[in-house]
Amino acid sequence: METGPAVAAQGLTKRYGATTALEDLTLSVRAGEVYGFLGPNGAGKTTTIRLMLGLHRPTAGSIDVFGIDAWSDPVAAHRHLAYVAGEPALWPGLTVEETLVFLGNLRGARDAEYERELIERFRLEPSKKVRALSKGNRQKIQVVAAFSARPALLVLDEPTSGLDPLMEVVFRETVAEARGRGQTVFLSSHILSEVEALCDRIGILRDGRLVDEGSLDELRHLASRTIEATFAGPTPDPPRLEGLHTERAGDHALRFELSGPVAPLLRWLGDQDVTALESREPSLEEIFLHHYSGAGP
Amino acid sequence: MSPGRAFTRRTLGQGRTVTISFAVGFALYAVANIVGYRSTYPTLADRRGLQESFATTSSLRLFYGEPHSLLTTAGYVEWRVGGFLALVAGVFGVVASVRALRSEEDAGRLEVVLTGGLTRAGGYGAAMAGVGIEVAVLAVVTAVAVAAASISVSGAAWMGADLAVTAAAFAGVGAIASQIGSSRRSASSLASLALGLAFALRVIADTTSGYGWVRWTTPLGWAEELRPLTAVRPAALIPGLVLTAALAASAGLLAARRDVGTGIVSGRDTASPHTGLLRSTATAAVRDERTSLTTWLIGTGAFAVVVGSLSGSIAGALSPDVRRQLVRLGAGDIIRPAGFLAFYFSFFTLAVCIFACTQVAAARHEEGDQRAETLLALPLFRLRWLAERLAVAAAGAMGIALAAALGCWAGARLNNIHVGLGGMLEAGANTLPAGLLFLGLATVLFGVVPRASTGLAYGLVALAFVWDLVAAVVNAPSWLRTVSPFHHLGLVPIRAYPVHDATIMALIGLASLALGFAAFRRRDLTSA
Repeated sequence: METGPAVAAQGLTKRYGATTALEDLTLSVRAGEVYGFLGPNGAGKTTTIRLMLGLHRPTAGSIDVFGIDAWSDPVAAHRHLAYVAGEPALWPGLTVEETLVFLGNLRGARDAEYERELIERFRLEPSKKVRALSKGNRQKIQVVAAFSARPALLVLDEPTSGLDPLMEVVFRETVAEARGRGQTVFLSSHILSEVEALCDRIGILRDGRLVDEGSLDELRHLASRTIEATFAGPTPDPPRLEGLHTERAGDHALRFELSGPVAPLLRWLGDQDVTALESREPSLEEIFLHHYSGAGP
Repeated sequence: MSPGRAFTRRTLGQGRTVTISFAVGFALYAVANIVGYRSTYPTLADRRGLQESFATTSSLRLFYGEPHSLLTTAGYVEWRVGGFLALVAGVFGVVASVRALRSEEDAGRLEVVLTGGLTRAGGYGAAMAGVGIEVAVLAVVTAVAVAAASISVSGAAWMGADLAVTAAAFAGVGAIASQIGSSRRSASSLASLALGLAFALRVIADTTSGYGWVRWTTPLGWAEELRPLTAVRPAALIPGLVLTAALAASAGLLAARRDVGTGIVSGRDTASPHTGLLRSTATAAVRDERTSLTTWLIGTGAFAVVVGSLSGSIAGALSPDVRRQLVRLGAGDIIRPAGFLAFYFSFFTLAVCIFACTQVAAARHEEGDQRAETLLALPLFRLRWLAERLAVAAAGAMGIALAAALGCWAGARLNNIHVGLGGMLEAGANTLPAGLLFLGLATVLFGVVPRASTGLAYGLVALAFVWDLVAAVVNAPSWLRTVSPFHHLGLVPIRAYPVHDATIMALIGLASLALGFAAFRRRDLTSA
C-alpha cells in the first residue's frame, strides 16, 4: 500500500489572533504504527488534528496525509482516513442506525458486517435516537462509524473521554485489531496509561510545541513511579540514590519520584518507621513538571 | 455578582445584536412614518382624502389594523406605526424568549448554569428577567423616537407601554412553548403558530364587519384597543399584563418541575430507521428542515388566500371622486385587485428573503455546533456541503413564491375576483431575484464573519424593507431611495416584469454567492 509516512507535518504553525496554538510542529507518523499524541488540555492536540483534517488553515508550514496536502486537497486526503471527535457532534433527531447509514452514505464505503459486529461489541442500540444518548454512547457511534470504514488512517481525538472502563477495554481491543490489519492510528490523549498501553511511538506536546518524541523505551522516564511514604515521627533525611527525586509532602510524608530500580529505596524505607505507603504512576502534570518544565516558552 | 444576575447579563449579551437591530428598526420606522405623514399630507384636505381613500380598505387593515382618525399625525401614527409594530413586537417577544430559554437548554448551557448555584426556577427567572429588559429597551427606544418626532410625551409613553406589553405577552407564549417543545425548532414553531393565530384573529376583527368584538380575543387586538395616541384606554393594558403574568408564571412552574434538557412533549426516544433521505447532505437537509419548510409553505399559502380574497375590497370602498383623484395621482392601478395584489407581493418578497436567511442561518448553526466538522472530516468537499444546503434554500424559496402566487389566485377566485393565474405566477417569480440577492449577501456574511452572520443577515433584510417603506416619505435623495432591493420590485403583474432590475439583483446575488464560497473555502471552520 502507501509507502511514505501516514502523517507528515513540516513547520506547522497555527495562530488564532494573538494566540499561538501550535508553534513550528514537525512530526512524522509511519504507516502502520499507533502514534500517541500526548499533552495536557490546551496543549494544541485538537488544533493539530483540525489542521490534519483541513478544517483549519495553517498559518505557516503544512501537514500531509499520505502525501496529500490536508488543506489544499481535503477530499482526497479524507478518502484515506476516518475521524473520531472528542466532542461528538451528531444529529439529535437521527437514530444510531440512521446516523451510521448517513455517515456511510457520505463516505461511500463501509464494511457492513464489521459494523454490525462493532455495534454489538460496543453495545449500541440501533433504534435509539441520538438525543437520548449519553456522551459516551454518542462517542461510540463515531468509533463504530470510523472503524467500520476500514480507513488506512484513524484519527482519534481523546476517544475514550466518555467511555466507562469496560468500554475502554473494548476500545483498546478494537485499536489493537486495527493495528493488526496494518491500519495507522493517530491517538490524541491526555491519559498516560492509555497511550502506554496502545502506542508504538509517542509525541509529547506542550504549549503548542513538540517537546519530546520516541518509542516507549526511549521515553523510559515516562514509566517512572511515584511513591509516597508517611512516617510516624518527623520525616528522615532522604537517601541519595540514582534516578530518585524527592520532595516533602507534608510534616510527616515524603514523595519520591523514581525512574531507576525500586529495590534500594525499599531497603531504605524498611529501616524507617513507615506508617503508610502509596505507589502510583505519575500524572501527566507531574511528568511535565519534572521533565519538561524548561521546555515551554 | 449573584448567579442570577450573572445569568441575566449573559442572556442580555447573547441577545444584544437582535435587540439592537429591532430597536433601531422600530425607531427608524416610527420616525419615518411621522415625518412622512406630515410632508405628504400637510393640509386637512389631504388628510380627508387619505381617510376616505384606500387607507380604510380591508387590505390595508390586514397589517395596520383599524384606523380611528387619520386627520391628525397622532391618529395616523397610532394606526400605521402602532398597528404594524405590535405585530413585529410579537415576533420579537417570541424570538427573545425562545432564544433565552430553549436555545440555552438545547446547547446544554442551562445544565452548567443550574449546577452553579441557581435553582431551576431561579435560572428561568434570571433568563426571563433578561428578556424583560430587552423588551423594555425596545419599548423605550421606540417611545423616545416617537416623542422626539414631536408627538406628545405621554402619547409616546403609552405607545411604548403598548408595544412592551404586546412583546411581553408573546415572550410569555415563547416561554410556554420552550417548556412544551423539546428543541429550539419545535418551540419556535409552536410559538409562531400561536402568533399566527393571534394575527388571524385580528385580521378577522379588523376586516369583517360585525366581528369587532373578536379584537378582545387576541393580544394584537388589545394593542389596537389601547389607542395610545388618540383616546387612550389604559384598561386595555390589563388583559395583556394578566396574560403575560399567567404565561410567565405557568412556564416558570413547568420549568421548575420538568427534567432539564427535555420538553413536556418529548418525542419518542426510539424509532425504526427511515434512511431514504440520508443519501446526501442535500436530502438530509430537506429531512432536517421538513417541518419548518411545511410551516413556511402553509403559512404563506394561507396568508395569500386571505390577501387574494380581500383584493376586491378596495375598489368598492372608494367614491368615484376619490378614484378619479387616485388615477390623476398616478396611483390608479392600485384600485384594481391585480394592482393591490401586486402591492402585496412586496410582503411575499420579504418572506422569501427572510426564508433565504433562515437557510444560511441553518448552515451556520450546523457549523457552530460542530456537526459540520463531523461531515467535513468525511471525503466531502466543504463547498459542496454549502452548495447543497443553498440548493435546498433556493428550492424552498421557489416553493414559497409558488404558494404565494397560487394562494392569491385561489383566494381571489373564491370571491369571484378576476386575476389572471399567469400574472400571479409572474408576481411570484418576481420575488425570487431579491431572494437570490439576500441569499448571496447572507452567504458572504457567513463566509467572512461567521459568528455575526445570522444576526447581520436578518438585520440587512429588515433594514432594506423598512428603508423602502420610509425612504419615499422622508424625501430621501433619489439615489438613496434606490439602495433598497425592495425599491426595484415594480408592480408585477400590472406593470411589466422589471427585467433590467431583476437581472441586476440576480447578478449581484450570484456574485455574492461566489464571494461567499471563496471566503468560506479559505477560512477555518468556526464554532459557535
